[in-house]
Amino acid sequence: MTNRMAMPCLAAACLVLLAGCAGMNRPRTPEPVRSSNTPAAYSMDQYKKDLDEYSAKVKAPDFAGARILRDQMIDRILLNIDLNYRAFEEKFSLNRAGFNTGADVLELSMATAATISNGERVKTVLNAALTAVMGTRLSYDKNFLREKTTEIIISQMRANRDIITKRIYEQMANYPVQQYPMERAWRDLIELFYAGTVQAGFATLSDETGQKAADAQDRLQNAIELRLISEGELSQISQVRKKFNELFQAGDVTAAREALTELNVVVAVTADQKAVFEALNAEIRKAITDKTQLAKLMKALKIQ
Amino acid sequence: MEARIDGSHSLEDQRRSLHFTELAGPYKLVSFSRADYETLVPGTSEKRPLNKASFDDAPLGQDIPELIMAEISPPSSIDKVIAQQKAVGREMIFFSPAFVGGVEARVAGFRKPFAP
Repeated sequence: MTNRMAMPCLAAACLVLLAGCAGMNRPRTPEPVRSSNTPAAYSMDQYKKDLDEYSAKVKAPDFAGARILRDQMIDRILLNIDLNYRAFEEKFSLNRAGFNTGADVLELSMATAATISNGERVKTVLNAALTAVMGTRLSYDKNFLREKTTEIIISQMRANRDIITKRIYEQMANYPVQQYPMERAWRDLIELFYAGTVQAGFATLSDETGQKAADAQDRLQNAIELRLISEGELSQISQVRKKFNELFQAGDVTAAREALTELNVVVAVTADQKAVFEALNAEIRKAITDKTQLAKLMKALKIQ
Repeated sequence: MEARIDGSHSLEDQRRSLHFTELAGPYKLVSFSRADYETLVPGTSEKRPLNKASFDDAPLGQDIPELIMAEISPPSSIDKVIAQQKAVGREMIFFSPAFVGGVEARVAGFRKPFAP
């Protein structure tokens, strides 16, 4: 085989191999599940029609009817975003694998051709080209994909999407249209769409790295700053806690309620024992940051 | 709950603040150590030594055992201090570097166990 023939032959052989790999990632997609062909495909006309109907129901007001329509609209948009995302994820994964395999093939072909070439000039040219190919690949990985593996990026995109999808479903299940109107849902759906982009994946990954350092600082900055406490204050809080424990163990809700009234805290008549004592305890906790609270607690709990 | 405390105070001052917080919570102190860096005082360029403390919730109605803190410096050793505290029924909660009077020291915390 002449040097001139070596490269095309190698490249052709590799292309045949690559073509064989193309259909190996999944079984055939059923027609109704194809993103381009799904019965759930939501046209802009249909969306506008539904939105008008939804607005009319809200104005009527028919909140129950509006809620059903809102949920249907959200579901259809979610389905569209999901199907498009799946298609994108697959394409992203295949494209990158394809690029890497192609680059491998090119590098190997050029290295082999350079080795079997006779002429020094040919060798030099092939080696220079090989260096350029390797550099391009490195640059692509570094600048476009930040040297992250496909799995890491996809896993981060999925994690981002899961958080937002969960939030949307929770809002749909728990809130009527007055509290979770379509406009707010729309904002969440846009956020869901962008969560499934490579940029969002990078942003979260980068955030997570910086986050660890920032978290420690934030925790400290956001932590409660403990104030200086005198012997007298320590003694008083001991008495307050002792009194609280006595009432708690005796189940003396009446005394606890009286103390809360003295502290100007309103507790529902229907509040059970647990709620009453938790409310009283919340008042005691205030003493951690509020220097004036201790005197109020001493008075309310009738501690001399 | 996370808290920060000015490490320029004496150990007794810091102990009082920490135990006050435990009683007011009610919380149990689970860790106490110097912050990894000095923190700017908000609104100023002044830096100061800070310690950080973590508390867990303590069950309502339970007595909060007294908090004891000791600076461990030669010639005393942590083993010796643990033995002394164990003899009076106290268990070690933490032993870590922390600022005391603005200077880094090694501090241990002890208390009798909470009622089961």
